Amino acid sequence: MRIYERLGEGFREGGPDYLPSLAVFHCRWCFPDAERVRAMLPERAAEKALLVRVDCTARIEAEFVAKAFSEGYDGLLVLGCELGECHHLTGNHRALKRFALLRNMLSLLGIYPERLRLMLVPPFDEELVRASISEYVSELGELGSFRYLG
Amino acid sequence: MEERREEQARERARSMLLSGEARAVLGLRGGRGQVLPYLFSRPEELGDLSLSGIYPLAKVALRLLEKWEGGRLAVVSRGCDERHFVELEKKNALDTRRVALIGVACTEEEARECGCSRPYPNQVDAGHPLADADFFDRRELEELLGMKVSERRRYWTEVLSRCIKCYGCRNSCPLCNCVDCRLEESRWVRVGEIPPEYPSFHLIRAFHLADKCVDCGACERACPMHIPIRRLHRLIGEEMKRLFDYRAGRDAGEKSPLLTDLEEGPFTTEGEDEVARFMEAVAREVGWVGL
Repeated sequence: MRIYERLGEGFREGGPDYLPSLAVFHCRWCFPDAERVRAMLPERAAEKALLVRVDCTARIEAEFVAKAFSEGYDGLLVLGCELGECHHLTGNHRALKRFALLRNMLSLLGIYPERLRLMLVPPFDEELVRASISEYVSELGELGSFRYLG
Repeated sequence: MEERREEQARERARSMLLSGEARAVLGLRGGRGQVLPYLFSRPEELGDLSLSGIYPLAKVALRLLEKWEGGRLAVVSRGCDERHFVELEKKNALDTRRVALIGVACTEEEARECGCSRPYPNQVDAGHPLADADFFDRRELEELLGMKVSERRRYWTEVLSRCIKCYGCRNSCPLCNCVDCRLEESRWVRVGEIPPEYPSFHLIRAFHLADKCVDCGACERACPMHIPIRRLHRLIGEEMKRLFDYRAGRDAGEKSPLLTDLEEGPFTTEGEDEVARFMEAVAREVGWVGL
């Protein structure tokens, strides 16, 4: 089922009030609890966010990103451990390099790279995480719908 | 000139066959109104060896070596073919001890037709390398880079909507040789639908090739819908150079920057070592790591 069929009346095609749909991938080692992650999202965005727990940020391949966008999600957020804290030692290094390239690739293909965000954050500083997510969501809102604007 | 080059290649092939350095030579056979890949196993046949076509022979060599138990295979290879073999070696896709290369430098005409940036292999057995000459026309890239993101989206959705998902780009690419191709899995690319969803098919393929693509142009030549897919790969290759100072096909000892191993060791952005500084630079470049 495509996301915009599921969105119902909340779906608008962009503009200042636009509420973006989010795909959130969270590392199981620093953000094990999906409900806790959902609670950290801005209230209305949380309702239509898709949460996926992954074993490591390095698990997130280009396929995931491609699928999220082709299914119509407006943004893809990845929450992972800080550098040096990875359970698999270098998993987040790999993710960092991969996402650096992916963001450039998205831009070359005509997708705003801001739609893809990797946050390597301290999981216990909840306020910080919450604040940066809401900043990201409002940025996404300004970009508008992926389907509509690009 | 051209005949001399062909003669040099034939001579090298003949001596390899006669000395037993190679059991057979893979090259192109002409002289019958068409030029096709052919496995020359007897020296007498080598008169038909032609250099007049451009064909990704590494793909053929891979398939042959899978089935063929015999000795070494010599492959007539241009610069791009040699770079294919470098990448295949990196990926452990073939046993390099079983392959010998007969290096052919391209003529200016061929290089111009291909828009090649390095129209000669490291080891040249036939022809003269056109060093320090770049035949690639950057204007089409500049045009794309000059666009706004939304304009690029319009450009690519329009161009990629021509795709009939024939998999020609994948099938012609010597570096696309996974046993199970992600592009065939319904989970990632919907089956039986054309054109494929933007950006799924092309983003996935482009990413898989990001650290391998040697810009040979086989995908674009194979595309029946004339999708200028090569310029995307070329742009990504330039990003790889800018971000990681990495260029595919340069040296088999070079590791892809997209991989990590445990020897890399855990590090932080505050570290002193080179890797840490590099990571910090990457993080700053994209301006979003941490907070």
